[in-house]
Amino acid sequence: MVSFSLVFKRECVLLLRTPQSWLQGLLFFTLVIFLFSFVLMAKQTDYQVLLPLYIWLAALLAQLLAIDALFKQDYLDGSLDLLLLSDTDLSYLIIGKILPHLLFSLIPLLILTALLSVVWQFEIQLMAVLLLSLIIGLPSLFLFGSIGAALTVSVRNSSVLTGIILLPLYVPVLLFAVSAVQNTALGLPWQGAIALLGANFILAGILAPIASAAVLKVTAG
Amino acid sequence: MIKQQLAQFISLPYMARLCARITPYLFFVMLSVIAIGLAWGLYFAPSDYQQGDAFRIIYVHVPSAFLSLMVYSCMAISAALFLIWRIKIADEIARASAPVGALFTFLALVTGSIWGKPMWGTWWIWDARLTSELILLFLFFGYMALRDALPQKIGALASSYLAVIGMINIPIIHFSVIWWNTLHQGPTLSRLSLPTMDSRMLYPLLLMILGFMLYYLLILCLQLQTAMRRS
Amino acid sequence: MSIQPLSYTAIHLGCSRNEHLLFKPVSFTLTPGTGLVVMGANGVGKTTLLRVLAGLLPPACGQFIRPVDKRMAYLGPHHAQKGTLTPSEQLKFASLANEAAIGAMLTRVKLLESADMPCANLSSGQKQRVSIAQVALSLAQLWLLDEPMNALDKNGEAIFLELLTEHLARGGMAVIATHQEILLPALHALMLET
Repeated sequence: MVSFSLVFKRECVLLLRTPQSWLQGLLFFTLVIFLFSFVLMAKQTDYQVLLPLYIWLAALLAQLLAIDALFKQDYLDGSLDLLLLSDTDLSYLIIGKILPHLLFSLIPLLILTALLSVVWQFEIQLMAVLLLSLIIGLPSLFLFGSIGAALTVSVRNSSVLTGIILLPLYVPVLLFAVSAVQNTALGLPWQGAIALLGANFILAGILAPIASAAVLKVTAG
Repeated sequence: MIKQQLAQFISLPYMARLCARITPYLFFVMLSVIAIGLAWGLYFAPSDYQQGDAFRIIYVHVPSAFLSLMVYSCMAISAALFLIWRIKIADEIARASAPVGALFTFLALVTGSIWGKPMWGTWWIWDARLTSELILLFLFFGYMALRDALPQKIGALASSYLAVIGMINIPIIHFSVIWWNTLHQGPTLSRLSLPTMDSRMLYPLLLMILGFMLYYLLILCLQLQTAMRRS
Repeated sequence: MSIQPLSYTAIHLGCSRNEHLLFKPVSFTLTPGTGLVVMGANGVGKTTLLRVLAGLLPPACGQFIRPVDKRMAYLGPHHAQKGTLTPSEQLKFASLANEAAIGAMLTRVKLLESADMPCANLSSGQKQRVSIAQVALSLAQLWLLDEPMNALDKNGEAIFLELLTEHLARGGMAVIATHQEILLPALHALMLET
């Protein structure tokens, strides 16, 4: 019988043993930012307004790329059965499973973003809002993403399908985050957008574990 | 007793028989409503003093847009009924709704951008309503694609969950897009607002909406009969 | 290691794969200390039956009545192991057993020397031993075992039978799908027929 802490520890150990699984996402993030800024920034105008948006888009894409694999390996090797058979409520176990993935992808990404902000000489406030929006926004994406990953867990080559399913769920998060960042860059108030982002995060936090658990019971049987 | 009657009423064979009986009537009523609506709207209704005859596309655009949301709501409610009480017919309704909804959404997008050409001078701008409509199209596509990718029973349940989650999200999506738009575009060109419409323009529009609803109902009836034959 | 005496009952239980019924519905009762050996041709639905009993799949018809405190251990067709974990970690993360119990269990299934080797380097027989150890450590009342003796050598089979006998003697129950013959007095046979 597995419990929350066991699932959490197990996932942490697994992520530490196979760093490529989360480093890949980080590399993809860097790659996308590089391509965006390289191709689109030739004119060198509006750096402060556009670059944070590229960072957000790159983070979203990297996240979308990674989320599809969230439950897949566990489904294929039978580990998911252990979670499903546990006496502990499945939604807790899912949080235990998601949390390490979230931490391992979010923390390096935040560090990298902070570095880039320094390199690109963002104003302190812009950097702070950008990091804040990532801290609130990426977990929302991750939580919503877990629903998509649960829906397509038994589908082979499901990354595009997961993308189509998740796009509508991702749009509000992206729009709120990007407005916060853009407003800051333009010297407009950003608090409203961050508050909406926070509200969305709360919704995701309540809805996603329950929904993912309900869905996994159907799809991973 | 009442429960039994209800169970019998919502059973697939009963509904399929009922549908088979009303289909021909439904078909003719729908045809005549749409024909009258079109003739009235496209020919008899006066042209708009600002937009001239270009506004007449609303007789297709507004009903499509209205129906796209209505069909999604029907789909999500049916999906929820299926998830809670495992009513098979609810799932059949949800399944049959998806392509119709996608069609209406697509029609709303196409007519919207055709209308946009004379209004905005371009086929597409990220107008809040068009953007929401586009995302709605993705919701329909996601539902159908997921259902297609999974085995029958699992696909029915999984896609029902997706429909319900999408329903929770539609207001949020809509709000976020409007919020984004008001922040980043100047005053959007406002179109006709319905309540102040001249009644000579409004009645054919309502007739068209009714006609489109009848079309949806007709498709549901036909699909339920097909489902009956399949099972 | 006491287990509460409770029984499991299947009433006219049928399973389906892709909408068609796999075998003639079965009925049986498991009382503490007894087990069931499920037999039948390939593809008759042994694995599906076990997944239904585990509650991973819904039954096509009938029902399986479990005690409220459903403690089941399931050994599926896959090993449920991660290549990067060692057997002792695998057991640590899959059960609430303490270090000493895990060490003792690894000694019993003769895996002590490879206890700290990644599971990816184990042979399939050794992986099967890890899975069996995992089930034995779970303290579950009902063991659901899908081909538990796959890839096991003579020695491994003997160890498995010993663990199973102990489990049944403690008042545990088991449902085992297998092609091999298991001769234990507490086990009844259940033949699945189409």
